[in-house]
Amino acid sequence: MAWVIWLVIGAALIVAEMFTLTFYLLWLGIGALVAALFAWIFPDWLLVQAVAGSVTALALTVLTKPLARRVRASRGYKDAIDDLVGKQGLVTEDIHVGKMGIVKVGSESWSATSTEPLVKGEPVIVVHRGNAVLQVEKWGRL
Amino acid sequence: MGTVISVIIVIVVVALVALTVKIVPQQRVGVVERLGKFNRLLTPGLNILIPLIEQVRIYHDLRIQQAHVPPQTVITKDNVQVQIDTIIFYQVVGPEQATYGISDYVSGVRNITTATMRQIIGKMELDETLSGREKISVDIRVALDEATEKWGVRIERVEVIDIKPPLDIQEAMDKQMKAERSKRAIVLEAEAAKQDMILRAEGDKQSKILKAEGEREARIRQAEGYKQAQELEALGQAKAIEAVAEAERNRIEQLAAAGLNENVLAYKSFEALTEISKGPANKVFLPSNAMEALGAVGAIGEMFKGKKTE
Repeated sequence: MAWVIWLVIGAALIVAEMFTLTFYLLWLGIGALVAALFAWIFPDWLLVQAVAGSVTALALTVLTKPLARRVRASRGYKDAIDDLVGKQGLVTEDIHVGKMGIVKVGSESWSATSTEPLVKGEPVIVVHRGNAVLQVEKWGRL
Repeated sequence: MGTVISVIIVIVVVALVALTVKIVPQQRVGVVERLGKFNRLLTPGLNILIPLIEQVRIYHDLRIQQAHVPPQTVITKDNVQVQIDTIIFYQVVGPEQATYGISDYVSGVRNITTATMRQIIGKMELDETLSGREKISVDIRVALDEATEKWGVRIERVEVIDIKPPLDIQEAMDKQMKAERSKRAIVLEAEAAKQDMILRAEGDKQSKILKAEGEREARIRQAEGYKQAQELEALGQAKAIEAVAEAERNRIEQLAAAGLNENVLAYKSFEALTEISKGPANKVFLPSNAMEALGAVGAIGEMFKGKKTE
């Protein structure tokens, strides 16, 4: 009767996986199902069942890696600030060398530094994004 | 014995699998340390960690966060204490720096904002602070970005929700506003009165001028009428006299044409004499030249006698 218990555990884990989407519950669930299969074949050998289930779960987990890589490559939400580099902006506060000014990129204001002095109203291109400060250059340089 | 070992194996495997597979939701990021050292960032999606060796130190939320800064008392350049109420919008943009650069970026963001705010407002006068929202936001942007660059946090904007001057200042401002308004009202009233008087005077002037002009015109017309009437009268008289003279001449001419020239005259004179003599006066003086005329027509006198005897 041990295989029934394994089956119930496996089903419960898979159902839980459906609700939470953690992925490792799925592997554990499949492991439990494999254990149930072994329990059906060797009803009195609990250790074999546990080992078989565990090995399956671990093997599946290790095999997740290529799957993870593929998932990672798929398109996701991109924050607007992630692709600021290369965008055009407008200077709204003069930038002096060694002192920050303000540029407007899209609808956002950013502090910006530059290697050359820039005056208000000049178009610039973002060449690097720091955390809160942009590095800009005069537009049309590239 | 077999049961115990089986249970232990299952527990260990469950723990290992749970530690290995990590799903990170969108706009969150985990910081992975391998044996205590920063290794990589866990990006959204399915991730595999090496259990026991790799560990997720912290998850960061990359969305824009809001922090409300409770009302702060700030002193302006002209020494007025104002209560300023702000909301900060910030975003974690560098998860590594946000983890290792600062211990608690939320309170860090709050503190740097209030400190910067205080500094900026301290350089402004009260009236400027009430209207200079734009300037505050520009100044605060540069000052904050300089500080938070190392924290991996970008302060999106700092919004001043409320600036409250102290009560007595507020009352004074109210009074000033009222006084200004009533001043304007009084000035407007005076202006209205002035305009009213000017308009009235102008109207009066114009009416008088018009009246005088009317009178003048009327008199001129009257005089003209009078003149014309007199002229016409004179003309009429002259014409009448002419007509009478013409008639007389015609008569005399006709009489002359009839050959009764002097004789008729004498006859007429006598007629007139007789008429006179018939009057109540019994003495008649005759002018001498009339007598001469009579003498000259003696022949006619004879004729008269003959007539009398008849």
